[in-house]
Amino acid sequence: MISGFRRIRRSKILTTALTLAWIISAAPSMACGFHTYLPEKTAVDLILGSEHLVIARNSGASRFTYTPIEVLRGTAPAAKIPQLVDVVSRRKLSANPDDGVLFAYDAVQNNWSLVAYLTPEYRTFVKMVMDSGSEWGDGYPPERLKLVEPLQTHPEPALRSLALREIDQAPYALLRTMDLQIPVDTLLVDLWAQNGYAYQPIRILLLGLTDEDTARAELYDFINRMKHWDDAQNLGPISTALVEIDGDDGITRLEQTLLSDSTQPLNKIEAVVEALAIHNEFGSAALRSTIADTMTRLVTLRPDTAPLIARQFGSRQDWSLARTLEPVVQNRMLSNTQDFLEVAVYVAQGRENLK
Amino acid sequence: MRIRPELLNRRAILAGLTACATFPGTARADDVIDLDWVDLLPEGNVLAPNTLRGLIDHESAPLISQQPANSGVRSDWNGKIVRLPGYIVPIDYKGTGVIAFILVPFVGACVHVPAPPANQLVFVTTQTPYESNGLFEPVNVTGMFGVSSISTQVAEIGYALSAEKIERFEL
Repeated sequence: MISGFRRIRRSKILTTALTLAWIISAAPSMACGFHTYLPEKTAVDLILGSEHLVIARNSGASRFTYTPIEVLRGTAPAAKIPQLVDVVSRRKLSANPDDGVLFAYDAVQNNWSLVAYLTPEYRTFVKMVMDSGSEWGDGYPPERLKLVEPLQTHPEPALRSLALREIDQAPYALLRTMDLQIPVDTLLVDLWAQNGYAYQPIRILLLGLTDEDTARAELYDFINRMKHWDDAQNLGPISTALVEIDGDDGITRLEQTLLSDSTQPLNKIEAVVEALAIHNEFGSAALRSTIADTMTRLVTLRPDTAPLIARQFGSRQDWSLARTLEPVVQNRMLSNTQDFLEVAVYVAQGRENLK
Repeated sequence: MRIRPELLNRRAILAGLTACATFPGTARADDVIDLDWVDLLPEGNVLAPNTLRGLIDHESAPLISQQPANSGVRSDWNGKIVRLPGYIVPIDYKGTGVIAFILVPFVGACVHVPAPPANQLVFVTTQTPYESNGLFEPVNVTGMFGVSSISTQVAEIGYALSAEKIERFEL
């Protein structure tokens, strides 16, 4: 028989890697955790991450092709810009000699990316990003959010849109401290605009940051409608916003509407639990106590929710519910091995953290 | 009334033994059979499909649906004293010590990778609480071994082991 020692030794690296994976997976609660679209790089991402940035325009000699007229960073690559000048840009460039189009060049991929159409205002913003962005480091720092905050109500739609996408990238802890300037009415109108659907989650989260009754009414309507739906689309941000705007009362509403209903699908329950896990990171002691009590009632009513609770709180390295979930393990309340082990791992991790 | 897991488990192991006339009371060095996880698979099975090595597509499906089907268990070591290395997932505690745990063949089992099949999970009980160093601590467990599909009260755990000795595995 083969000794298992060698396998164990090989697994040492795996031990470290998977432990790290467990820890790293506890990403901060990102607003973008509730995206309904594929997150693409924003103009700020491209400005920060590109070695070559140029401003290009067309010319009378070649109205349909872009030619670099100014290098903002790096060098002017020899590769021609393959993107053609569309008719709208042609008109705008023709009418506004100070405008240009910002391109980023990736030398490794030999790839040009159109970053943004630059008006003088947009160009000023680009300069601000270039000036301060090098000091931002990893993650999404408060300075970056501060830079885009004034753009929320900018007269140029492109800058307003950029602001929303930037806000959407901010961790929730940062988001909830921001100076929200978008009027509630605008959020509500855009929420249901045809081209606003992809940004529903961030607009819902922003509604939660207001203290407006019209925002509350929208969130209550959402929750009431979702009670009868099978899918959990947007239930995460709605639950997060509801707790943000109503605190304990929001949790009570979620419990009365969804958590206490044992016929609700687990994917919907998990979306609500995710929201509560997010608030457990930032909430007051009283709010955390309410969350703990709510989770205790939930797992008592439905032991099959223990794995999803372990998953949502565990991924945030929040072991505060270990005692709540311990009876599920002790009393073997889950018949599925995968579920059972997931909860057992959470409880064990919680006990270790108490040491 | 809740049955103490260590008693339940040992009884279940014993109940499952059909081929053994006698059982050693304590482990002696020359009695101990060193097992590896591959030994727990039915003959002809190949160890380490992708899911057992953690090579899964996390986006493709919920973990539960990826748990490999159990391909059967082996009864060759029913009632024998074996030694098996693995990692601890604690289940029951007495004070700060662990009195029941699941021994798994690789770290991270059940967290970001699917649980191993039943024949790669061993439910271990010990009357002497083991002061574990932490989750997924590597250990060598020595004790009476057997097939135990019902004794653990958790489905799909293929084996049980009543530990007489648990040693930290020095990596």
